[in-house]
Amino acid sequence: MTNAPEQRRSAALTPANYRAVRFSMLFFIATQIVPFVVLFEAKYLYDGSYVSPQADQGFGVAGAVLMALSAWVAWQALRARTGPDARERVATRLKVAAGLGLLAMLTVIYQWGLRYASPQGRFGEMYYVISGADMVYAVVGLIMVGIAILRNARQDMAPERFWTAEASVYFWVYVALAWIASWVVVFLL
Amino acid sequence: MAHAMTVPESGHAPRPRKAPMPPVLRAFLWAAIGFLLLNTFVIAVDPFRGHPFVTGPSVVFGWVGAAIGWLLGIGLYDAVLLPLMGFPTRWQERQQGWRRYWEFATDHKVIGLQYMMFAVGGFLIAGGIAMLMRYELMTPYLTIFHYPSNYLTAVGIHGTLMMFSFATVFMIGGLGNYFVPLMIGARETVLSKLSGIGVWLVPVGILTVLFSPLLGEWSTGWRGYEPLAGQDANGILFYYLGVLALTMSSLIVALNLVATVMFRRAPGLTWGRLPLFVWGQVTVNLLMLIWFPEIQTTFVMALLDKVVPLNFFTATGSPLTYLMLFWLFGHPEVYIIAVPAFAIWNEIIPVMAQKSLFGRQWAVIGLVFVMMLSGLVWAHHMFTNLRNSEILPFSFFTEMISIPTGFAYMSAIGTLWKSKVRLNTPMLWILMSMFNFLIGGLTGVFLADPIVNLQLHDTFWVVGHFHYTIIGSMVFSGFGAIYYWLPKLSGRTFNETWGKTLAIITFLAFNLTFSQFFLLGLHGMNRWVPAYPAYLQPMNFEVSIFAFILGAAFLGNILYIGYCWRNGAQAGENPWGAKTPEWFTSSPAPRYNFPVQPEIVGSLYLYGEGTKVPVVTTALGELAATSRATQDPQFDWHDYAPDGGGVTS
Ligand code: HEM
Ligand SMILES: [Cu+2]
Repeated sequence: MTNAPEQRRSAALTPANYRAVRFSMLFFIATQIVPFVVLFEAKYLYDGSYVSPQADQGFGVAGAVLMALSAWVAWQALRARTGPDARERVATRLKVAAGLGLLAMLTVIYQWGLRYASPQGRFGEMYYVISGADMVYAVVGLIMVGIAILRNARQDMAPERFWTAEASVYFWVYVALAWIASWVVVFLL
Repeated sequence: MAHAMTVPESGHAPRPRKAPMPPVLRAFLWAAIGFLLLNTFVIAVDPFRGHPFVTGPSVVFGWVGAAIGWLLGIGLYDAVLLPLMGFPTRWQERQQGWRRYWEFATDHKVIGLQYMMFAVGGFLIAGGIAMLMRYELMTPYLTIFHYPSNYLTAVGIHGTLMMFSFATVFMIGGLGNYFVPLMIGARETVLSKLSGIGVWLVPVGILTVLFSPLLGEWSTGWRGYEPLAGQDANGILFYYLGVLALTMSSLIVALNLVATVMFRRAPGLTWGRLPLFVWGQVTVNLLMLIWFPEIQTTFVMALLDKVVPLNFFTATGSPLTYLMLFWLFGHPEVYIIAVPAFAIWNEIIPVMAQKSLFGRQWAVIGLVFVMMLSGLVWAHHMFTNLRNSEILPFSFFTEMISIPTGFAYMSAIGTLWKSKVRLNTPMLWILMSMFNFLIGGLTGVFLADPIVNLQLHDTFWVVGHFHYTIIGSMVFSGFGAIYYWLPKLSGRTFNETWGKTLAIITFLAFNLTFSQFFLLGLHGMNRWVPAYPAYLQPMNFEVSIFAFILGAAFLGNILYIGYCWRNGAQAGENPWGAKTPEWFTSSPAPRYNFPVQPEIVGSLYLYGEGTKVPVVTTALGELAATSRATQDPQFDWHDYAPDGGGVTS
C-alpha cells in the first residue's frame, strides 16, 4: 500500500487546487462561447433576421423556459451543499435539473419530428445546426450532471469532493445560457 | 473529520494477479466495438442508406464511437470515470519502465514524451509522404500516382499531419508539457488527468487522417477548402474528423498549461521573471484557446455540409465564408508554431553566450504583439479572391507584423553582440533557425505585396516561403531544443562532432532543396500539380534529390538522438551553466520534479560578475498552489475551505 497517499491525492482537492481547477473550468466554458459566436454570425450572414412563419413559437418558448428553470434549480444544488441533509437536497436538485433539461431536449426532438423547415432552406439549415449544437452541449452537460449524481450517491459531501458537482453545474448553467441565446437568435431576432 | 478519507478510492484494490490486457490493445478493441455499434445503428435507422455497410453519415457516427471507445479503453474508464463516480478502481499509475509511455499517465513528463513520440511518428509518416511527392515530381508526367487526385490526397495528408500532428503537437504538447512545469518550479500540472487522456487523441487523429483514402480521395490540401471538397469522395470526412481530434488534444494542452502557469509558479517567480519559453507557450496557448474552437465549429459545419447535405459553403452558399473562417484560424496557427521557436532562441542564446539577455522586456512584448496582430492578417491568404480596397489593410498589417517579429531578432542579436558564444550543436541549430526564418520572413514580405502576390499565388514560391518559415522556425529550433535539453531529458549527452555534422548536413540539404522552390515558382511551377511543363523537369529532378538527402538527414538526427538517449555519455547536472529552474533538479527529474519546492530569488537571464544563482531549493514546505495532501497526512480540507472554513488566503 505504498501508494495510498498518492491515490488519495489524486481525488482530494486542496483550496489552491480548487481555485486552479475552477479557473480552468470557467476558462474552458469561456472558450465554448466561440462556437456559438461563429454559428450566430453564420445565421446572420445566411438569413439575416428571417424567422420562418412555420417555426413553432410555443415550443421555442417552452424549451427556453425549461432550460432556464433547470439552470436555476441546478444552481440551487450548489447552495444546498451545507447543512444536515445536504446530500439529499443536492441530489434532488440535480435530478430535477436533469429532468427539466431532458424535457427541454424533448421539445426540440419533437419539433425536429415536425419537419416544418427543410434543412435545404436558409432558415432550416441554421435552425437545425444551432438547435443541434444546443443538443450536443446539453448531452455533454447531462452526462456531467449524471456523473455528479452518481458520485453524490456514494460520497459524503466533503467540499473537496463536491467539485465534480460544482463543475457540472457550471457547465449546465452555460448550456442553458447558450440555449436561451440560441432561442433568441433563431426564434426572435 | 476523518470521514473525508473513508471514500472508496482511498483504499484501492490490490493489483490483480493476472496481467490485464495492455491498454493500447484494449483501446483498439473498444474502438472497434464503438465503431461497429454506432455505425450499425446509423445504418439501421438511416432512411437513405442505400447499399453499402459504411456510408458517409454512418462513418461519422462510427468514428465518434471509435474515438470514445478508444479513450475509454486507454484509461478514461478505469482511471478517470470510475473514481470520478465514486467506484473503486484497480487502476494504478506505473512509476517506471517503458510501458508507462504506452498507458494512461498523469506525470506531465511522461505525457510530454508521449506527445513527442506521437509527433515524431506523425513527422515520419508525413515526411515519408513528402518523399513520395518529390519522387512523383521528378518527372513531368504521372508515375507513382495514377490520378492527379491521388497526388492531391498525398499533399493533403502531408500538410495536415505536419501542421496538426507534428508542428503544434511537438512544440506545445511535447516541449510545453515537459518543460513548462519544470521551468516554473511546479511539481505537477493542474489538469494532469485530463491531459493524460488528451494525448491519446493524437494517435486517433493521425490514424484517421492517414487512413482517409479508405473513404476516397480528397483534393483540398490541408485547408479542406470548400466548395472544392464538395466534388470529393468521402475521404474529406476523415480529414475533418482527424483534425477535430488533433485540435481537441492541443486545446486540452493549452488549457492545462495556462492554468498551470497561473497557479503553480514557484514562490518568487513573478510574471516579470517568467522564463521566455514559458511566455512563448502562454501566448500561443491563448491563441489556441480562441481559434481552435472557431476552426472546430467551421469543420463541423463543413462536415454537415457534406453528410446531410447542407448548403453553407457550396456554390449556393458562401464559399468565401469558409475561406475566411479557415484563415482566421489558419494564420494564428502558423504563429502558434513559430512563436515557441522565437522563445527557444532567446532561451538558449543567453545560456550559450553566458551573457545577459538583451532587452528581455522587448522580447516578451514582441511575442505578445505577434500574437495580437496574428488575428488581423488572415486575408493575405486570399488576395486573389478580394477587391483592391479589401486587400490593402491586410497587406499593411501583414507587413507590420514583421516589426514585433524583429524584436525576437533584436534580443537574440543584441545578446550575441560581442559575446564569446559557445558554438556548440544546440547553438548551431538556433543560428540556422534564425537564418532560415529570416529567408522565410523576407519572402513573405514579397507575398504581402498585392501586386507581387497576384503573380506568385499558387506557385512554388509560396511553398518555398512557408517551408522556410515553418521548418526554419519550428523544426530547426525543435532540434536545437532537443539537443539542448537532451541532458535534462535523459541524463545523457551527445557527441559534438556528430551533432554538428548532422546539423550542417541538414542545413545544407534544407537550403539546397527549398531555396530552389523560389526559383521554381518564379519559373512558373504551380502548386498542387503532379504534372507540369517539361522545361521544368531538370530543376525539379535535382530538387528532389536534395529533398531525399534532407529526409535522410532528418531521419539521421532522430536516430542519433534516440541513440544518445540510451547510450550517450553521462551528462552533468547543469552542463550548459543555465539559470532556469529546470536545471535545479536531477536529470531526468523525479516524479514530482523537485524534492523540495524551489524558490526564485533573481532574474533567470542575468549572467556575468556579481549575478547570483536565481533558484534556491531550501524553501520550506510548498507553495500554496501545490497539493498539501501529499505531504501532510493530517491534511483536512475543512481547515482551508474557501467559504467559512477558517483560512482566508
Ligand atoms: C521533409 C521535408 C519536406 C519536404 C521535402 C516537403 C515537400 C513538400 C511539397 C513538395 C509540398 C507540396 C507542393 C504542392 O503543392 O504540390 C508540400 C506541401 C506542404 N508542406 Fe511540406 N515538405 C517537407 C516538410 C514539411 C514540414 C516539416 C512541414 C510543417 C511542419 C510541412 C508543411 C507543408 C504544408 C502545410 C504543405 C501544404 C499542403 C497543402 O498544399 O495543402 N512540410 N511539402
Ligand atoms: Cu498568414
